[in-house]
Amino acid sequence: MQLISDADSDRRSSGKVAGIASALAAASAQLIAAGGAQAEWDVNTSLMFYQEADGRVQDLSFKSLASTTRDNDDEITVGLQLDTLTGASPTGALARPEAQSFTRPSGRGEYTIAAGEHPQDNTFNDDRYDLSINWLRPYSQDLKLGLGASVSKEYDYLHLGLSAQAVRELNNKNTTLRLAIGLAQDENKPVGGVPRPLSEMQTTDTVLDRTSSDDKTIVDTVLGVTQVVSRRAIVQINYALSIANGYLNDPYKFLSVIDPVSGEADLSTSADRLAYVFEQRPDSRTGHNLYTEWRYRLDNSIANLSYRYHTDDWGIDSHTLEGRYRFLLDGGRYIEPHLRYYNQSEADFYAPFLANTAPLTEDASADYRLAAFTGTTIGAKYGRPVGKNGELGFRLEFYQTRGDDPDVPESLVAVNSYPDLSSVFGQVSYRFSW
Amino acid sequence: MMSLKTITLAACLLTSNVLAGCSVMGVQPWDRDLLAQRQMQIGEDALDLATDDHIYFSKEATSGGRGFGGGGCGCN
Repeated sequence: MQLISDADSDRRSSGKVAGIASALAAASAQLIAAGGAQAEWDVNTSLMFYQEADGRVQDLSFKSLASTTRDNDDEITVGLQLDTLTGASPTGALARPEAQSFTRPSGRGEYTIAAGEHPQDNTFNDDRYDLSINWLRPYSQDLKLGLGASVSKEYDYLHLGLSAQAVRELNNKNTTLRLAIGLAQDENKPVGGVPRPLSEMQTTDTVLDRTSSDDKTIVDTVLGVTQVVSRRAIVQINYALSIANGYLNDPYKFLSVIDPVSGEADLSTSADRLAYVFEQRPDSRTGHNLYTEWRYRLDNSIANLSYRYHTDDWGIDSHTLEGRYRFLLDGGRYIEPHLRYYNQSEADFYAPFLANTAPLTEDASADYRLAAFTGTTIGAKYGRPVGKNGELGFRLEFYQTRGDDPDVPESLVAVNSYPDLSSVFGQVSYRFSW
Repeated sequence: MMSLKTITLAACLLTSNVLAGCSVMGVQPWDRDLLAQRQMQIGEDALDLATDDHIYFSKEATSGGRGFGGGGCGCN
């Protein structure tokens, strides 16, 4: 997600992006045309509305996922997503007993946060476009090989991805092994340029000596086993390794610089206000996921349980437990309650502020998403059949996070708490054959 | 935090055990009446899962597991 002030509304896609997107779109159109002439497409579409409390992020999202199996048994899946995002997000700076002013990321203009309020920049405004294609071809009775490509574009972010996978069936097709490798090259092109890590926030209307963009590369590997356990049960176990290198900072996040004992803020060296510095994260991250999912068919219901354990070299461990229980009703209808529990530890370099006594060289981020917190989701989906192989679905989910209040000097305790999040999202989906 | 070596060893042991156990599990083709139903396929609700993954990716520090973990969005 990125930040755009009113003055930054000159949206232009680079020729490179337009070229790649149009190539992918052309390839999709060819595949759809070829598939449409010979085979039926299973098309899944949805419209989703997401809203956070307290005027934070809001998202309207359209998604479509179409798949088909052609006469030669090639499986093709084409995905499309459009998002429109607006709202505000915590910047990382501490709330203070006095009002604070900040320069907008563009460097043009500033905004003021009232005393006792969590600093947020309310000029988030973004559109996101995402296109993906996956192609899986049988090479023998038990082996399929596949290729995939994806591109997504935001005002200040470009993602290009390639993937390959092999799927092998064993034991009379009761065991499926899957190996997938993905390579992503993402470009961050923040409004106002890439801030130098740990540099002080610029003063308003100054010419910035910054590079316009920075990149990161992500290599993902997933090794999975799916096993039929019985006539009613199926289980999947995945191990996933993710290695990211390059620019891993959030260019819009910063930290307050304060005296760690008194809580008194340092003053900016260049402007008539308090001092803030941009965050600095490590330039690499290696993460491991162990994921397992279990599905069990009862006479009139389906139970679905999953668990994920994550650990990485940023010091973050997380546990995610998720359950769905689908009650099968008359006429193909169903209702499915959903619960999700998520808990993470904080990153080694997470810090709610930067002490003015600390050396300005160490990694530090006050991004609330890198703190220790617990997230819970409760929701439900109702589905009913429509037409031939079609389905209409309605889903409503409530998500909230709760974190420990940051460890700040006594004088700031009263105004600083973890920026808990409460959000609701609703989704209407329509599935049909074409 | 577990080391890479420990995790690799655990994954290998788990995989070999799972595969050894796999050969004695499963059903005959004529017993697939329930498993063949769309709603028993793992990942059949791909659109809902993709929606959720995208939301949680932008709000939490860890992602992936079902598939690839990161990238593709400037939201985190």
